[in-house]
Amino acid sequence: MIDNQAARKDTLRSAARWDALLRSEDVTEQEKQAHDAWLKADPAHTYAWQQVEKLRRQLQSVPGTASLNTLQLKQYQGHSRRAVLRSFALLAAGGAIGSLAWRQAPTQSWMASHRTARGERRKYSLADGTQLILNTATALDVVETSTARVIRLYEGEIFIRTSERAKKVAANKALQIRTEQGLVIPLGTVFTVRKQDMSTQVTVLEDEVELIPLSAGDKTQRIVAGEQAWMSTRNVKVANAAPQADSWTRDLLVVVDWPLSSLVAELSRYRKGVLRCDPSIAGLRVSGSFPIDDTGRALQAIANALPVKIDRLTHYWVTIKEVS
Amino acid sequence: MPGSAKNTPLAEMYNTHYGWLQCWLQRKTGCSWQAADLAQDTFLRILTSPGNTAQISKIYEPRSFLTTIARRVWIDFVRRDALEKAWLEALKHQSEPVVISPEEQALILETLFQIDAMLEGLGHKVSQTFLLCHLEGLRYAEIAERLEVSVSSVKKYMAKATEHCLLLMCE
Repeated sequence: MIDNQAARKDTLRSAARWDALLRSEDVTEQEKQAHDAWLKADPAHTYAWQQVEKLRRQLQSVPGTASLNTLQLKQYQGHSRRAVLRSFALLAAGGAIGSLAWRQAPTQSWMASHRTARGERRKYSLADGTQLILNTATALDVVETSTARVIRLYEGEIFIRTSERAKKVAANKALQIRTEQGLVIPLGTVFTVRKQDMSTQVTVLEDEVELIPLSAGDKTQRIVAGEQAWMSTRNVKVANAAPQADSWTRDLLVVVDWPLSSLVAELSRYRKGVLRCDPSIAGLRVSGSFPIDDTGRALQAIANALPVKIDRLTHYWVTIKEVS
Repeated sequence: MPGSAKNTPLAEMYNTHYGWLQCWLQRKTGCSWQAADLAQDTFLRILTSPGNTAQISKIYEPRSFLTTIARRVWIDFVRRDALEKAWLEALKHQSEPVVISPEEQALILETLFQIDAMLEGLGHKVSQTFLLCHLEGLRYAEIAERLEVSVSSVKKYMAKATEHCLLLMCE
């Protein structure tokens, strides 16, 4: 057994030496023939040579100059395993200096920060082909770890369509959405995730999604297309999804029999400034579809449909009042 | 009794120590988001490594086992971070514009991460020789001139670097 291993190592060493020799400018015809003979002498030699070729292919699969510069820069920046271990040792030793040094260490920038302003919507693609639409006032980071691709949703709302390719690689590189309340894990699917004050709202449009509240141990809850769920840190409540819950991706807000106050709260997500309605009319019921890329028009539509008027103190201070 | 039918040793370890590990990582990293990512990655790594899962029931000190794995996960994270930054920096200094899709970029970074990890532990001149030959396509004489060494040293360095990589690939 040990002999076997030693023999295998020897063979790999020989293969490496042959490679180094064959690459040199002054390699002779005899040497090439000797290499051929070596290859044919033993299947183990052939196997070792296949590994050399595999390594070569791997190195050829990346753009040469940019990759060289990257690896040189990284080595120059000295983020070696040892440097990281030293930081750890420093921390283990404890003390303010250790933790201060750590906080200054540039550890968070693998994440590209994605943000939309109020009223803005934006599309992104992730590296695995997953389509992402950020709704108004949304902030998230995409973090790549060795086993997962994590979207940290800090604020706002996202629409996600996982790609066919993402489904294939899901086994070794899972996509996850993480919020304050817990984890959302798509199982090849289309869905939206919205961060609210005390909960995370998930609406599934196709296939299934798994929810794992932060403090619920390893209990998971699966929700399917047509369902909507609210996840707190401890549990998940499931209901039927509101119709057209993803209409915002088409610049529309579709509501069916909503109280006016809810519609106003929803519209105010998409505009700057204050938008409110008088308590006396808060309970009026509304149905319809409203443009969210032009909330002024949406307000006009409300005024046309209901016995209310739009009181514009300034563009940034709008109150919906009862018609007296 | 070593674990009921329902609870695997790993699940038990998860239930008992997950919270603790996350706190530990949060103290180390100073960031609760990152601690959560790393804690989960730690368990995923144990789960996906057959050697580790087989050993779990034999572990007497699960917390020191977990912190060992967590350290590796964390080191990988920092290395990826450094590599990504270096890549973006390198792209900025490209003389010709390149268009690389997010998919391609992810594949390239993964490959570079593997190459970088393989070359670790090799001397500076050895790893430079290997990279200049494979990525820049330089001939031995050119490499020798650049690194101010003899051509025969370049050949030796190449053999050494390749052997090192092959051993890691066939581990």
